[in-house]
Amino acid sequence: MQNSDNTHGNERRDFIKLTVLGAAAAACGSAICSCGNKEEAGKKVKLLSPDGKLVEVDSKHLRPVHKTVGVSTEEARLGIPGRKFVMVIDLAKCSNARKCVSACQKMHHLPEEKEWLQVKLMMDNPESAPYWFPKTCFHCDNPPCVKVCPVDATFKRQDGLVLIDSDRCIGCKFCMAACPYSTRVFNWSEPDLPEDIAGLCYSPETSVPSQVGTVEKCDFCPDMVRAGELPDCVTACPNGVFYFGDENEDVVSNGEETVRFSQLIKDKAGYRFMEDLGTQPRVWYLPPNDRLFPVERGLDDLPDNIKDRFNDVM
Amino acid sequence: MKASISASERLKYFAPQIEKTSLSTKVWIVILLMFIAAGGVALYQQIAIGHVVTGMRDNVIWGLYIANFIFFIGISYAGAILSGVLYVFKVPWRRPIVRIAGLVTIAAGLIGPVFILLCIGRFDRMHHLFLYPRLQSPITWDVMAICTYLVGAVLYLYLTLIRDFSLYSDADFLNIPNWKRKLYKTLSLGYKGTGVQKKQLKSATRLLAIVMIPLVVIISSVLSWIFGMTLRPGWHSSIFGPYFVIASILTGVGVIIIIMWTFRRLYNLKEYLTDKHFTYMGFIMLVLAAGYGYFSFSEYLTGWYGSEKWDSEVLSKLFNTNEYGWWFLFSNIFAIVLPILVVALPKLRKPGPIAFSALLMVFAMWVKRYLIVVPTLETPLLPVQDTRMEYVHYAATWQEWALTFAGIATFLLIFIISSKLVTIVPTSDYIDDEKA
Amino acid sequence: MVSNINQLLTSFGKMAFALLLILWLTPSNLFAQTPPATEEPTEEAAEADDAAEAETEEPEKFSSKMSLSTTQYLGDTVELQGLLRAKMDKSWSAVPNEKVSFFAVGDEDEKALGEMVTNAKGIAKLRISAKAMALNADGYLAFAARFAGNDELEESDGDANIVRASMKLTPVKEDSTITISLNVTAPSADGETPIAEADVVIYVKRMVGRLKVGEGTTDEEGNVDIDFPTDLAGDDLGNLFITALIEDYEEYGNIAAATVQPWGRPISYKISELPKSLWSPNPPNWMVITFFVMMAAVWGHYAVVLYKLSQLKKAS
Repeated sequence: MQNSDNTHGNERRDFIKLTVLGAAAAACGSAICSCGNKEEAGKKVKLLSPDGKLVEVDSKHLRPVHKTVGVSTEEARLGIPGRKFVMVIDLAKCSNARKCVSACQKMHHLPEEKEWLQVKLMMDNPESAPYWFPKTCFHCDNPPCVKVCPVDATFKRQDGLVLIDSDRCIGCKFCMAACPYSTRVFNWSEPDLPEDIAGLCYSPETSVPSQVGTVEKCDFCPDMVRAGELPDCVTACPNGVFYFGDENEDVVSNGEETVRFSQLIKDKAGYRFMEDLGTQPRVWYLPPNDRLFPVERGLDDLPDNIKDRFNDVM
Repeated sequence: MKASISASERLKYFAPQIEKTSLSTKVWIVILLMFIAAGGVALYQQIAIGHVVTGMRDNVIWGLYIANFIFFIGISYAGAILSGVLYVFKVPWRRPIVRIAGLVTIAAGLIGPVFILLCIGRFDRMHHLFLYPRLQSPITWDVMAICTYLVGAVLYLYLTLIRDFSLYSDADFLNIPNWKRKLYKTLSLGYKGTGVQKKQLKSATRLLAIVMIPLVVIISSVLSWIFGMTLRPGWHSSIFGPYFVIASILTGVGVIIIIMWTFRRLYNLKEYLTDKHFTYMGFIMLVLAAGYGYFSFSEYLTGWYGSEKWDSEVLSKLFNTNEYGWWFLFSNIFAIVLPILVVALPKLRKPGPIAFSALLMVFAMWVKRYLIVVPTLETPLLPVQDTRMEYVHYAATWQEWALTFAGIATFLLIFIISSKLVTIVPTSDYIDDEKA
Repeated sequence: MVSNINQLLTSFGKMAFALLLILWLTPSNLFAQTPPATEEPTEEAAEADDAAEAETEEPEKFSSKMSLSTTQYLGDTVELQGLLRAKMDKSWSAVPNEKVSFFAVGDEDEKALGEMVTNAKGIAKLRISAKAMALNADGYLAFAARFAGNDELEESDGDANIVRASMKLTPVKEDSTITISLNVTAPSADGETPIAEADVVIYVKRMVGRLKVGEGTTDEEGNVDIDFPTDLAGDDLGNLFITALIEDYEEYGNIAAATVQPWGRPISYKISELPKSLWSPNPPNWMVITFFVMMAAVWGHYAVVLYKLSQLKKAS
């Protein structure tokens, strides 16, 4: 069995310091994040600790931690009983605000250049209209990545999720070659993590902390779901693009509205991306009809390095 | 003619090979060791800093290392299947070639897997392959296949060496240190050429030779399936199995021809490695190059003609001279057209030109391996849309090149060291002829 | 009468306190602390203001806000929900892990109902029975929720005054149709008075949030029948957690009725063995057989060869 002790190998002094900090970050995480505030790195921010004390912390330490420590790896392999997770992404609502990307990075302690969730600018052919295309892991029911894993490090659960046990991954990258959607990313060097995060015990349900020489990807935040909450990208989106839910219960929610999954797919002609590959994704898309925003709007306020990505398309 | 010479006289002729090491050989060894040391530095950096020192990134996740892996392990397979076929079908001119093929099998077979280890993010966790194996993964197949194959290859080479070991240890005239003689004696397993021994050894060798042929075909295909089983354009092709088998053997035959030519000059073996041997090996090369050309043609023709979106994207990179066009052309001309031409034209059908064309062919085949791996990875199904150039285009770093050259140097070093332990021409193989 | 005046006085006191608080918090108060030498108090004063703030280590308290809402259930059960927030960085953030005290406010006195600690969303909930609770002089059930404040936060409170009401839920299942019959009434001197024209929504509890499955408006009699879908998935026993809710209607606050009915399709919670497939940990049979047959064939040959080698040694 794995040691569920959260911090190990730290000296006592550090331990106390970090616990306070971690607790503060954890408590404020929920508060700050739910308001959609984005703190800039290096700024000192005042925060409330769980016992009501005011503490001042550097905002770069303020990446909110997932609230649960994470279940054991053995349990994480089984999945949540009775569930069949599903996501619906409404392309008509996406304005490339990229709040999903930053929320995901914040929650999983990823550097800015590492995107588990990407927003691509798609143009199916030169005559067709471009549209913003947020892409999570598709958690396929016939996952090409899981098929090729030689050590059972990436696995498919009964609740539909495809997760990674980074403690087992040998870093052969075969899953990255096998995934047709370029979903997976590799830790090419030692990830730059704050001490308290680096000291956490890895759980496939939190996918934290990143480990050098291993593969990682979007996990649909099962630890949040266990706590009865929606994944971070869903709640961070200002336009309600992402709907997350349970296919068994036939329900998806974007935080504002809760609707029946089958009805939504039926009414808005939902489809799965590249259906002909036979991977059977668990993510559905609603076509970009009657769009809320002009596509150019997505280029506004983008930093240059991100704007330049779309030079070929627009 | 040669059959009338006794085995010991023959051995006397080869003796200098294993008795002493010439100065030029020593210089070569030092140079090769320097290359290996440079590779060591690169390896240290890769371990200390991480795979970030390589040119590999999230799109092109495999690069030079995998190309080298396919290249070396393919050469090894060729050595095994060639010596197996030559033995099983009792090809009369096989004798001076079998030993070289056996040594190529081992040398390349040891280096190839090292390159796949270099590609693995956590080789401190390699034991996970045996702790948590998943039978569905082509990597599991490949690991099992290569382990099985290496055991068979070592066993096979050893079987073909036993009679030589016995001969060396009994030859009093051999000026070799005591430890070497003792080693030969132990390794000869007390073989004295008695009737029973002869029969046992022969049937054991024959049995293993027969096993090696299908084994090589299977594992060579398994190697190709690492690529073929993915949903990637340029890889996901049912032709990949036989394509890799024939490409491996072609490359290996080329390497064997080059080594034959080198030792023929180095140890003055003109009487053993005759022009006829080069002609025969040349014919094999011609047939394989033609077969390989046929597979290549049908692979690219179907992809181009069908022109599905993803296939077209990869092919457009291979055909575009601003991208991989020149290399693609080079690899096809020098791996397919040149060997066929050189061997087909009687005027060129001589050891020198054949060896030279083999050298160019082997290099072209290495380029081809690169062209199989990299352009496909640079063409994911979704647009890359990344501003970081290293994520869009793969360019190998000096660390990767250093380790590549270290691999080639190790290959040559293993060969030089082996040629100091055993004669390049299997001396004892000629005994049967003497009796006949 | 006396109690009314008392209440008035308390609220007046509160107002005065709040006024003082505002005065103390406003920058003008800080101006007074700085030497009144400058004639142009605009920018420089602002700077001095900052300086004073930085110099004085005295903790500045943040203001907090308590919002109290109520939900009435059948049988005089009232659920009190206090939401505690604090104003930080110009926005209201939920305050977790703080004690909230709930009170029943009578005309003359207050009765402590209990204390709850806020959750991560700043919410503290308390369910009480209001059966024995007396109405105040105006005929309301009066509640208050208080947060005592701490070193960093001001105290705050919220109150709610509601009129008793109740919603009776009757599940009706006939053949293949399911209906939820609701009757909404308020108790009065002459029995029950129906509450008309109240919008009722039927929710079913789901993994994330609640799913609206039906709605209706009460008639003159306070009755409404709402069709309930028959194709919903329940839990492993097929149970559905159904809530009928009237949200913040007139002076009744929220009125709710809940029931659990086995109307759903049962979902298996069993974690079964994954099928033998390429993507599961269990390989297909043909693959296992093929693999081991091939490996056995090759290694078997190796064994024969090794045996022959041992014979070789023996023969010497």
